[in-house]
Amino acid sequence: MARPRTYKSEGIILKGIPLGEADRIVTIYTLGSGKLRLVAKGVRRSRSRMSGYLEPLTYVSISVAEGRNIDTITEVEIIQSFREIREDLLLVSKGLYFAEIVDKFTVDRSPGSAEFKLLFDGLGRLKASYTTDLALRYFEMQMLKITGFGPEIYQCVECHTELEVDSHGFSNLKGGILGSECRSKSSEPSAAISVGAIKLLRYLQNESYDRVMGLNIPEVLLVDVEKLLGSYIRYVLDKKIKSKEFIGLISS
Amino acid sequence: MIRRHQDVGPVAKLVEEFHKLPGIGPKMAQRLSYHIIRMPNSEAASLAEAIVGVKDRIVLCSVCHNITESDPCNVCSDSTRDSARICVVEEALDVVSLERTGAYRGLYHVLHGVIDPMNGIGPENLKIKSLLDRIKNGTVTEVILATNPNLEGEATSMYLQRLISPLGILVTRPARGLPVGGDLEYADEVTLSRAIEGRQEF
Ligand SMILES: [Zn+2]
Ligand SMILES: [Zn+2]
Repeated sequence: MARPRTYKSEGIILKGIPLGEADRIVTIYTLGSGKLRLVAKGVRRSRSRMSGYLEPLTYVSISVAEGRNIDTITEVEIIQSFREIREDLLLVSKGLYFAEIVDKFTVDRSPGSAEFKLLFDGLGRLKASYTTDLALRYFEMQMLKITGFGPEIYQCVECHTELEVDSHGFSNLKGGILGSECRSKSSEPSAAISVGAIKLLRYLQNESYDRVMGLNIPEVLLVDVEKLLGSYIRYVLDKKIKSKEFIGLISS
Repeated sequence: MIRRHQDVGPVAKLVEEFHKLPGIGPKMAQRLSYHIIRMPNSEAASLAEAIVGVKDRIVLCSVCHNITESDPCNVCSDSTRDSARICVVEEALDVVSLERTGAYRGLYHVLHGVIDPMNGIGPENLKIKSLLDRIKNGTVTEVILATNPNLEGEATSMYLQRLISPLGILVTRPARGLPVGGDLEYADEVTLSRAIEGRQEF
């Protein structure tokens, strides 16, 4: 038999599912090749050299052997373990949320360095005492933008005129803000959106992370924008995000 | 891979069924199938009966959710066991591993899984409510959280600790030493009994 071709890569583990008796199928978001699904043999056995290196939210470098149906991880080294995340339940749930967003917004073997950077920075910024919900909203908006689903928040999605400073509607279907006039004539469902929420969406879409985190946002507005982005993401993906439910469960 | 035909013949059907089992690849599935074809009829019948019988007679213990033939299970109905302690595990196989060490004489609670939102599993999918009921109603003074030492297992334990600690119950974790990422069921007996005996407050 010919020796299998091998390659090296590095990336962040998104998730794993047990396979057979002691193997695991690992989903990893790599810097060069995007999302890969790989098999790790024997990792659930205690004596495996690799066990513990392939946990979700770990940044690793790997050697991989090509296979007929699925490639196999042959070696792993940890680049960054993000240990402080896994020691805090709320941080774990937020880290898993980032990973789930990346997993659901991307397809296998489609390179995306912006997605990788967003995830890497997102995990690096999850710090013990305090990561506000604003950081989650920033992550959501940036992922929407990177993957081409960034909502239209400057012009009316119907008549394309510049929006006036006023409350309008937000249409998931049209992917953005529906001006108040067009909204009153439209029979399609849209959620009401306040001036404050529109401003915050614009910040999330166009400003740096540090500027966004420097904002002092009233709780009510944060809740509004969370609902709005949450509903839009559910519409775009047509899937529930399970880790979001879990965050809700433990922050209450 | 095994190709699926419109009309699956008996041999192909058997190979397919074996292939679904954990750790059985296509080649092994074929080998097992041909082994069965060569078996005397009586042996094949007794194998089939054993499979059907196990499904008929095995139930989940209504107290601890362990796999059992009688309800409550052997552990729950054994009056010599220490009913002040409950050891929480992910799967019934973990009970087997812990029992093999002989180092633990309390009761168990099998969650039947682990919190794993990435794969669609939240706390509501696990046997958590019945655990809390047992703790609230009973004589329990210590809960040992023996989930697997990986991210999902740790998250599940942290979640349970948040629920149980306010009830004024001692919550402990097996001592470090179990290799991270490995399944409890594969830990060797010495390591496992050391981990249980040297458990520490969470
Ligand atoms: Zn308009
Ligand atoms: Zn029982």
